[in-house]
Amino acid sequence: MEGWSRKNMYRTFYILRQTGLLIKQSKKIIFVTVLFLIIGMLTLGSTYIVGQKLFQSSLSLKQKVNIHVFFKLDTAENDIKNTIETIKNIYGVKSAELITNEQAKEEFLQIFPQYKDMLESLKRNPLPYTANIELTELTDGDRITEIVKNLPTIDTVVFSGETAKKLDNLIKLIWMLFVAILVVVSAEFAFTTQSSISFLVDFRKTEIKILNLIGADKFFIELPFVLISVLFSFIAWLISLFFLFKINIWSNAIVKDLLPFATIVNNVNMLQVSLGVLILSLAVSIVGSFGPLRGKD
Amino acid sequence: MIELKDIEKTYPNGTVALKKVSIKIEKGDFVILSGESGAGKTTLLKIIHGEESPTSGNIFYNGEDVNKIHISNLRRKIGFAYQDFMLIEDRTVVENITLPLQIKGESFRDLSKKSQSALKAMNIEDKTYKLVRELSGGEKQRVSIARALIANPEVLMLDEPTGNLDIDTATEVMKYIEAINEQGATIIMATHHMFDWGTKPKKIIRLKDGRVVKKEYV
Repeated sequence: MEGWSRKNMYRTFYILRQTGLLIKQSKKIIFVTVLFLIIGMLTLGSTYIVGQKLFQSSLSLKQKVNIHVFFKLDTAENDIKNTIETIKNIYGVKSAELITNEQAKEEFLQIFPQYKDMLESLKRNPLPYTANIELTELTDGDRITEIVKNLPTIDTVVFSGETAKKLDNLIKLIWMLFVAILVVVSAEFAFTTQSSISFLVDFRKTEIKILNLIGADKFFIELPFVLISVLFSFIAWLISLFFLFKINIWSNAIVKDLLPFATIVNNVNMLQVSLGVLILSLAVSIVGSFGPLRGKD
Repeated sequence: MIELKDIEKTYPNGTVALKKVSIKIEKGDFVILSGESGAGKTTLLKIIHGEESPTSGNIFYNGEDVNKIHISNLRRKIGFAYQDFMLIEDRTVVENITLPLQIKGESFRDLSKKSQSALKAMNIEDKTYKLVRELSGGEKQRVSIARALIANPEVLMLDEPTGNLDIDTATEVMKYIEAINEQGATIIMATHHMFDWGTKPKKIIRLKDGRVVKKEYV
């Protein structure tokens, strides 16, 4: 048992030594491989960051398309509150915010201060109570408008169904594009990584053949390549990490350009992104290094 | 030790390399496969080494069908010095010759001791840290032989081992191979150069157009 462990200890050392020699003898290939991995990681990471921000920010546009409700003048405050509760209970309503006629007056005067004297001269506040209804799904807008319109305390309901539909389609399009691009970029990343590793294996094919001929087992032959793949991925990841953090900052401007009216949501979890990229690249590198090696038996 | 029964080999392009070859090699034998180029010597060595599979026939190693032996285990028992060297050109001589020992997981001390001994035997001690690509054909041949014998294999196979050597070096190398044989290793050597050396009888198997045409002891 002791002899066996000792042999394995020496074998481990020799495998690491083979790995070192392989790196030493393949400097140019290593440079190209790491470069390709960095490009792949940056493409993948930045697509995720920009896509995620674009999607999250597009969701903020939903809040700008609300149903605006105007209560009948002289409706009792209690009835108004009951109506608000009724509205809140309608399926598809996310929230309903009451704006009193005094709050409306204040807001009005902030925008049109020139009418202050005119408003003050009136015996009573001419503005009605209003409410802003936020929807869970924009597509429910028309249905909810119909229900609210028929409530006895309601005078007028304003909702632009057309805008809501367009916005909903835009959000769906952004999501679909985001997912599609992410899938394509992931596939491209897997292909590039696998090709780079294959290239290295192909470069050392004579060595693999010789090792096979003198009785080396698969473990001895393949492990240096797998270790190199892991090492490449790790180096490329460390380098791309720096740029990914920069991209996370720069991407706000890109999203602002693409969706000028949206509130920019900056909640991308960079730890998740970096770990995701690392795990994916490690998995692809390890799996990718086996295929070409098996072909060299 | 090694038994080949009715081995036939036909390559995909239709070339028939071996026809009904049956040979029995005992432990400690010194076998010389002789014959002209294309007689089937290299193919026969490669079939024993598991690099080529026979079209038909069976090979037994110590009584066991070689198909049942893991190829890497079989190859660790057989040292093979190739005609075209099969060395890693961008590695040093010592890195090349110690590979069989590294695969086995031998200690650093053994690696050092055995490599020095093999290098000395092949008279290439001064080339220890030279890259293989910087060596001459004859030097490469000796490195290839050193690698084949360093792990004390049960069987040592040599394909035209003197092909790239001058007559004096070839004689020296042959004397060394005979010494290894005297220590108990089985030697199978393919050559078309016949030398007069040593005292131990050798089994000569003459091949012609893929057939065994003569078996004799000299």
